[in-house]
Amino acid sequence: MRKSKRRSCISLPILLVLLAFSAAAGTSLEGDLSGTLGPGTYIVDGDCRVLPGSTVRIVPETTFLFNGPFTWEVSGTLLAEGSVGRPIVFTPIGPEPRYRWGGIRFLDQGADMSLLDFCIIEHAYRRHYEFSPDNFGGGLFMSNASPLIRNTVIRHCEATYGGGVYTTEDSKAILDRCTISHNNALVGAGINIHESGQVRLTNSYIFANASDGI
Amino acid sequence: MIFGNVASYRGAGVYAYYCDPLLLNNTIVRNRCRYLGPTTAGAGIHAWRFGSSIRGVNNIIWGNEATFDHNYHGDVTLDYTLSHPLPPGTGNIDANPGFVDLAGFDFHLTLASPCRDSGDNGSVPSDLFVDFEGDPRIADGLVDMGADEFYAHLYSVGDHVRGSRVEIRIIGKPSASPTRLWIGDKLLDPPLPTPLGDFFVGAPRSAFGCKPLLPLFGVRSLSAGIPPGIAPGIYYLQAFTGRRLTNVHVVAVE
Repeated sequence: MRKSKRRSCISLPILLVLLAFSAAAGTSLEGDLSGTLGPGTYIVDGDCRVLPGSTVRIVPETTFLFNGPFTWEVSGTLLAEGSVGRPIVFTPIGPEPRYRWGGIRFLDQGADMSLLDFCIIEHAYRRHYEFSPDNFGGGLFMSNASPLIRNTVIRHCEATYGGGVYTTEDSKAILDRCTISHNNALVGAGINIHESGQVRLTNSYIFANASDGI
Repeated sequence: MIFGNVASYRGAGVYAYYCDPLLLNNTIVRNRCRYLGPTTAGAGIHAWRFGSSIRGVNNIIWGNEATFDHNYHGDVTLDYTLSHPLPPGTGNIDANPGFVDLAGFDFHLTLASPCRDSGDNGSVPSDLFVDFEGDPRIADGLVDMGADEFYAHLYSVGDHVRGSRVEIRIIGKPSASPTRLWIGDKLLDPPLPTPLGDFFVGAPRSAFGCKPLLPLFGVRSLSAGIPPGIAPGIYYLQAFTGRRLTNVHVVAVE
């Protein structure tokens, strides 16, 4: 796991600016991950990967602030288990478009044991106008992977296909007690289930999603 | 609960495109198509005309907005479903679903709803024990249509911000016994078992007495102000109504 404290050798004017935005302070995170993360705040400074055979466990009250268009790619086991009132949050570091991140992508059967519980996934973005898998699944993308998503909120995400969630290639995801709201897409604003993708969706809210294509 | 979604031409709630989904116990309401052109149809559910079909049981598909076939369109088979116009099939009804507050997007069933005890128990998956908010999926012997099962339940509507007002709603069967509401910032773990159900709100807690439930609709709304001086954090609410303890309602006050 590559984690490093942000550099402390800074000039006085910069220090004053940093003090004014102290809420954004946190541990930098990118690269191949394993082990336990949290609680606390991480600044995501690059793509993060959970490789086949690796396990990453995230504890409640952990926040990931994305510092650019970075993605979590999961081919191993991601166990993000928040709890009531103590969620795990994936969100941009700021409101500007340059901070929109690329969502969580479960990429093969190695991710089948993954679990998202009491997570918030918001303001992820994969919307461009060429037809490419890179434009599918704003918040969550699942291809040939069958994670369990529970008590999780996916909101204000955007993609060309599947603003909130996109499943394909024999993915058999389970979404239980989730809220999928205020997502946007050309096709399938809330959930886009493609061809052999399957979703068992139970006891969930799907509301206020907007598709501007079909 | 599938509501308030928007698409351009079809399937704002559910759009089946070269697939055959099964919809069980959904409430699909107030979805709309943005462009009301001559081919805009099926704002609630829409099965694409080629290689697509939708089968649905125990659903409410109502109040959606398109140019025609507002609620359902295409190769759609519905049973034990409330919709308009009346779908062919078994156990379907065409009526007002009797929500608590349609305009306010509160789609809980009232006591007078025709959806109560009108579904098909045999279509409920054997491993699905609760409805969308944790109440028993089959209460009173027969499953209700839609995502909500009419059962003693407590929830609130509004922004939980200090100094603002929220509406606390209690659903239950009318009873001569008074309704009681408890609020606290601690959770009993394990809960206290009682003959009326498990009690969860830990001490110190505040208790409030209310009048009995409204007899016709089985819903009581209480307007409450969140004190400006209250500490932000997690609060737990539970009520006693109709000889039953409700769920615990968890509120995060900002």
